[in-house]
Amino acid sequence: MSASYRAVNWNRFKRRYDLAFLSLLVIYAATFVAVALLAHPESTAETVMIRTLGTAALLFLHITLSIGPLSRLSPRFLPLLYNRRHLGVLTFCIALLHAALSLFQFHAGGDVNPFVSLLVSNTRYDSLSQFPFEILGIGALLILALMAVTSHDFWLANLSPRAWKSIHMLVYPAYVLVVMHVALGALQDSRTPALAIALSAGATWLAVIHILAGAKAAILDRRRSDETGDHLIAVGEVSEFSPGCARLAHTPDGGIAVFRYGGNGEWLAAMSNVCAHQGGPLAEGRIVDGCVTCPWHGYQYRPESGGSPPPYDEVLPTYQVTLRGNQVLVDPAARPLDAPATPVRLDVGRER
Amino acid sequence: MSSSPERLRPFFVGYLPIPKTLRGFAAFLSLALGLVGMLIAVGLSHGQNAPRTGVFEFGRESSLEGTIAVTPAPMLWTRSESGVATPVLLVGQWKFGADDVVSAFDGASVEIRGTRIMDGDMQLFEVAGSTDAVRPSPSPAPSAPTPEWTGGEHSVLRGEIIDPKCFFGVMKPGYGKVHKGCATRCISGGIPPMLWVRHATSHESFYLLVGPDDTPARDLSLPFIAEPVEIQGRVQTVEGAPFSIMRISDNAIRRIR
Ligand code: HEM
Ligand code: FES
Repeated sequence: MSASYRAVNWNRFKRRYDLAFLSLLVIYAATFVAVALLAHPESTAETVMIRTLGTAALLFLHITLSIGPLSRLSPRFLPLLYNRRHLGVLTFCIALLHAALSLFQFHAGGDVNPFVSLLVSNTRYDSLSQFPFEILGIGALLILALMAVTSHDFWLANLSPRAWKSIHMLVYPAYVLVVMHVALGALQDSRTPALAIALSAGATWLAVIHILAGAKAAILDRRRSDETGDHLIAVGEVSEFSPGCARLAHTPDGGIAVFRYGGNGEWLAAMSNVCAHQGGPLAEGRIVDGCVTCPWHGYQYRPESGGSPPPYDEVLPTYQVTLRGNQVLVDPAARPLDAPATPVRLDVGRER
Repeated sequence: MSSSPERLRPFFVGYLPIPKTLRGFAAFLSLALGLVGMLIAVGLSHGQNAPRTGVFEFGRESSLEGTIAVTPAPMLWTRSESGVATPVLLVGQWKFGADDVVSAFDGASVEIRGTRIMDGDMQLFEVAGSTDAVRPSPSPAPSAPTPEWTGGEHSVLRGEIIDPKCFFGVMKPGYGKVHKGCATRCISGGIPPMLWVRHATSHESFYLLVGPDDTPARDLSLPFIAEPVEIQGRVQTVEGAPFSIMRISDNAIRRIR
């Protein structure tokens, strides 16, 4: 959060998270190398390392790309999302090692500079089967680098959220570039189906979970909150609100989260559904320590003001809630930040 | 108060202790990911092409005696005890040819220090980097004249242009598309280009490509490395040599497919 920037705000969970993925990398690499030594004892170490790192980077890219849709499909995956940026940085580091080793192995020690050699030793841009697959890897690596560098909250705060989001959507073009890098590279020489199976299984998996997550979002969207005649949005009956949780009022600009909170669940207040951090869905969050808490990375906002508790200084717009009998209504016009909406007190006894 | 399923769902916040119910799922997920990762690693590693069996005795220096021929490409003719002459292709360090180191010794009987590269009958030698790697032979037996490449039958052959240093043991794979950048560097750096022809059976043969000026056909080959090609030229052989030479001129190489 923006009170101050440290390189990484470590906590126990982040350490465990990183440790888990580092262990996965070690297990993957150890298995790849061991099988290479057993099945192909004549292999050379450099090739085995280039391939271990290249395929590991691709595996980690798949995991990174799976976290978003999986979290939308089931909130049980949300812990994976919490520290996804570290996974992205790790993926970049693995890919960088793969690229550096390839550069050394195939282009160093020759009659031209290795970086020049990388760009000029194959110029068959006119042919698909002979296409210089390295350039596709370079493109992917540059995107991963840009994402790794801008993953820090400093950039999130200093780029507009939209610019930041666009940069991080580049992960999809990066994935396509990597797939082409392999399909027009290693796959062209491969005499076994293993790499082709892995590539297509990976692409199928990603397509399926993205389509399922999209379908779920579309179904939820169709259950649009009703507009009432007077522009207020009906969000549900009081009894449909669980204390500590929210219901979502759909609006074109990302929705309004209407929270029920307080010791007995006696208050209702509404704020933008879009977290100031990375746009996480606050309506899927909870009240923790009296604050609306984002399900993605845990940013917090006071329900009565929309502001983050000190020392943080994020503020989200609030919206006026009204009751019409048992119906909870919300005014879709945002209140000015310095004049937040007034929370509504429920007669909790009557509802029971 | 209505009981809603929302309430029962555990809520995770990264900086707070992870809820018990989610802890089990996290453990399951870690285990599953580890297993899937291992499975993928086994499949991809096992599924690599079987590497060629050539050997580069990296880090182990040897010495070889014989007679140097600088044309059509740097090689050392060695003699077995029975007197049969065999050509050993000489290559330089890294991605360079051996021309500079051996050019002063054409026809001389020498001892060379360096590293052996071997694949079946094929022998190559990476000349060591030191200035005294090539020395006049200490055993003063008169050097037999190097054999002549004879014949000259016009042939049309299909195969792939490789750099023999990588192909016969330094790199695995030392051929094909992923190795193209490296083979381009090697041939550009003076390692003589070779045509690798695969016959219907597992049999294969090799042709050193020689240009009109009786030196390795470097510039003619460079645009076609690691691609399927058809080459026209005159083939010459030496009895017992593990490769032939193919003399080519301009426009002798064309892409196929
Ligand atoms: C400058 C950038 C890159 C270069 C120069 C490069 C180079 C190479 C080379 C030469 C190979 C063939 C290796 C072989 O089969 O012997 C290869 C394969 C591969 N690369 Fe890259 N690469 C780059 C970037 C990337 C990136 C960013 C990724 C993934 C995130 C990646 C993933 C792979 C994979 C999965 C393979 C196939 C593995 C295999 O060979 O079996 N590469 N790369
Ligand atoms: S999106 Fe990161 S905390 Fe809300």
